[in-house]
Amino acid sequence: MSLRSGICWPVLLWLAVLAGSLWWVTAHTRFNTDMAAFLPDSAAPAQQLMVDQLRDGVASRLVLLAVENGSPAQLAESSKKLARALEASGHFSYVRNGEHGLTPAERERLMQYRYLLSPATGAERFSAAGLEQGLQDSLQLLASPAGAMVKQLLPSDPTGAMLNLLEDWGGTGRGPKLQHGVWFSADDQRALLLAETRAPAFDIDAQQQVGDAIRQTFDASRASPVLKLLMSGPSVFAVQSRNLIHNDAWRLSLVAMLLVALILLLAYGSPRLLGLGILPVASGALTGIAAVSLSYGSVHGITLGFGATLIGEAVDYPTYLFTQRAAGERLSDTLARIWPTLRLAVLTTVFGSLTMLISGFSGLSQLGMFSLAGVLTAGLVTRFVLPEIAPSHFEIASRSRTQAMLARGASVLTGLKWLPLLVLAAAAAYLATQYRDLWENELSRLSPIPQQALELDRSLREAMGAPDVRYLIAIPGVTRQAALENSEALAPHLQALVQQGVTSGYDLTARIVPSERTQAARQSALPEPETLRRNLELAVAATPFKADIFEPFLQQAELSRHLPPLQADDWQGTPLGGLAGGLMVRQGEGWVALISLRNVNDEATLKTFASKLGSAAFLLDIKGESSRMIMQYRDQSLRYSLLGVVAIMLVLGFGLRNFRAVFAVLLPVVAAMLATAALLAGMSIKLSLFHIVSLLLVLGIGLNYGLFFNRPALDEAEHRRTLFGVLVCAASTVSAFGVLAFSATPVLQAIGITVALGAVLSLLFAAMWAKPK
Amino acid sequence: MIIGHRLPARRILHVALALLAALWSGLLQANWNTAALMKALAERPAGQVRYSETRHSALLKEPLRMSGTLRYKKPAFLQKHIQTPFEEILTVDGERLSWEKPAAQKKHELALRDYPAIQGFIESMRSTLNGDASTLERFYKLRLDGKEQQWTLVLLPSDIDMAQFIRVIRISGSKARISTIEIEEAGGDRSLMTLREETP
Repeated sequence: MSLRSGICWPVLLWLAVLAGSLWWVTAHTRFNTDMAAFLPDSAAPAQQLMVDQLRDGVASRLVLLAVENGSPAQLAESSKKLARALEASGHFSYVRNGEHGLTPAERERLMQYRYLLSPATGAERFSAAGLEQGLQDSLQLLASPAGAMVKQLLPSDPTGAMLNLLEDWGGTGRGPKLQHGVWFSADDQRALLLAETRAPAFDIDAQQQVGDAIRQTFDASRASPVLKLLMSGPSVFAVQSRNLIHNDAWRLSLVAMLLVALILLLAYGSPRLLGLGILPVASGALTGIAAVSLSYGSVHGITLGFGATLIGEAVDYPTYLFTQRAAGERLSDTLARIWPTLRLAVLTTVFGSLTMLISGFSGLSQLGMFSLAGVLTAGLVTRFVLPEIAPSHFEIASRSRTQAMLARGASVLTGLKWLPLLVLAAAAAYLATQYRDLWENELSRLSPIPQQALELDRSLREAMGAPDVRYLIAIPGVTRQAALENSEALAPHLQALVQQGVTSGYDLTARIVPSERTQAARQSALPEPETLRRNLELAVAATPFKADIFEPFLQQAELSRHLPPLQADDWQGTPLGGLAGGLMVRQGEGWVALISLRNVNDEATLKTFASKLGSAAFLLDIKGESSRMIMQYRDQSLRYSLLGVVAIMLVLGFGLRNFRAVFAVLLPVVAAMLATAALLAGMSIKLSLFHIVSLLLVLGIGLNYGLFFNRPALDEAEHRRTLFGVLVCAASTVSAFGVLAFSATPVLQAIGITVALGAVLSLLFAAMWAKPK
Repeated sequence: MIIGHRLPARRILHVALALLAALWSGLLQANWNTAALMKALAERPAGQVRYSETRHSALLKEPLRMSGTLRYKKPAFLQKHIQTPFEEILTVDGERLSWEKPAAQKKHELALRDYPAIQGFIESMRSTLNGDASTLERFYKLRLDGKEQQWTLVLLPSDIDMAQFIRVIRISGSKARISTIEIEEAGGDRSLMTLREETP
């Protein structure tokens, strides 16, 4: 390649931008697959709370584990060893396998703070009559099958406060069945464990390390090499989906690139031109990643998957240039001829991307930024850099036989002008009748996790009695204490809901860390030492209990009166602490206390209950809310897409200055888009955001076909070159996106099918409306 | 000597019969083991017995005396109805345990498998009354002392958790009839139940 004499600014600038982007991408760019990135930044408080819950909420750090494929004794032994090793690894706040209902630390805290924690603590409980009632109950308990176990506790707990707390928190009451001392599934095939990671759920790198550590620990500790470990949970899914998307995006992009290279090689017959032709795309991809990384801090895996988009779209630019070149012509002369058309092609795509960029979804706007920066770069490189660095003389395969064949085919197609109109009308009518069932509203369906893994998760959750958290009640407060107090006030109403069978239970922080006000009130309900002693003496005299055995109770009641209030930190590193911490979240200046509801059976009653709460609290339906959000943002992106179409029409109007030409360019691609949507709906594929985005890309690509087909041609040779050029472009697009259609990631698959289908239809329809010679 | 003359034949017969009886009972005795006891217990129809119980505890000034009825039915039903000095009904059927205090109108229900120590304790009565050897052996090492007429079945907890609370349980009886259940807890507390069979 020979450079023209003198300093060449475009090339230098290009090299500088490339070097800068390369440095930024290699040194500073982080990639993530956090689905929450596809949720809005500017959300209402409830949605923000919901996104936070999805990212790092109550249950999102839980890892569900199961050991299978062995005798119950082997499984139990492995479960015990694994639990101990994982506890020692430091990765987890706690690990439970059913060996202990409560950890020793939890038992100790409950015992120490029993009178401050027990809702039953009140003045009448410690009167002579109240104590006598407690002693009578204790006597019955002593005579029961549990007597042998609880008698050690009686001297320090004659009111039964600790026993009630144990009954509440003993944990095993709702847990799985026990076998050989550890949790088992109902069919005895799996030993079950539950762990909470210290690392936040959205920190996928850390979660990946935790996952690897679990597997290594298990391999080292299992009783027999045939035993198998199963893992599930939100963070496990996050790691899994990142790896799937990552692999998919890279692998498929590579395959797509090879295919496109093969097609171009066939078209040009020149490896050298192929090398040149890749430069705009490669530059575009690099600056696209750098631009996204610079403006958003990190690049989403799905954004990266859109790298394949750029291959389809931006590879076209040098293709148009090279295929348009007449024999022996200088590239700069070819460019002078086709630049107005090429410029319009670039600008329409830039404006299409612009609407994505300003959508509320950070995921969508990343895609917009990527294609905008990429397409713009590719266009500029094609216009200003390629002619500078291309060899002044080169030969390109003439492919005249193919071109002649194309010309014959095209002339047949131009007789079918009515077809796109008919298709447009039919597709629009079909879509209108199907509108209700057109859309996919479940965020989870967009996840790349295979059905089998979801099935495993469901069965482990069922076996472990750890249902997915769907309903939360959020209770705001100016301070942490205020939020706690507000949630305490709500608790009696929730108890009523439990009794009505609306929900099977609920968890709230205040049961584990009551508000300071409540703790102080319970402390003041405990009598002075002398009063308590007198009351107790009166009470004991009426029972068969010995008079002097309750000294521990008197001492500990007195200690309880002077305890500093129990704080959340006192529970650190315990399962109860994990629960308590996860249910108190900071929001803005204030705090929100969350109440998670277990197994809601009657949604209607719950919603009526919630509607009466007013501004003091609101019900958060995580699943419903996320569906609602998806719908809302899909509608918004539809609106932005329409805006994009209007912007593109304006750009076309300015560029073509001819109403008939705008119509001839626009009609085929709009017909192709609607026909694609109708075909997808006909195949019972539910449309999502990603189909809409893909259709927007079809719009960009299809417009280019229309633009080139409608370019005034000087002679028959140029007309044939145009036909050939558009066909090569369409072939590379269809093959690149056709590859994506084979992806296991639903999002990539949706994009692949839509764009490939749309490109084929656009090509055919645009050829029908091609400008006659 | 006529009598003397006639005695030997009778005597021989008596001796022979006595020998035969001894041999027979010896044979029977040889077959008197845990399995035979459990089989005999399992062959009984469902039944109801009155019981009185004395619980000695270091926490109490004087032993707590209680009485009531026990009802049992195969395969896994047991109800202990305490009638004096307070009323309480403890029902175990399969996996479920319910615990009712009619005076306070309170009823608790729980799954036995969640409380292995309580289940172990309950099986000492339920599995014995229903002759369920395999369940009993899951929780205890068994030893049978004495003869069929007067036997004692000694239950030693095999689970370390249970052994923390229960030292030994001795159940005695005659043939397929249980007369006492004595429970010795760790720490010296004990309780003695005396059973009086009623006609079913």
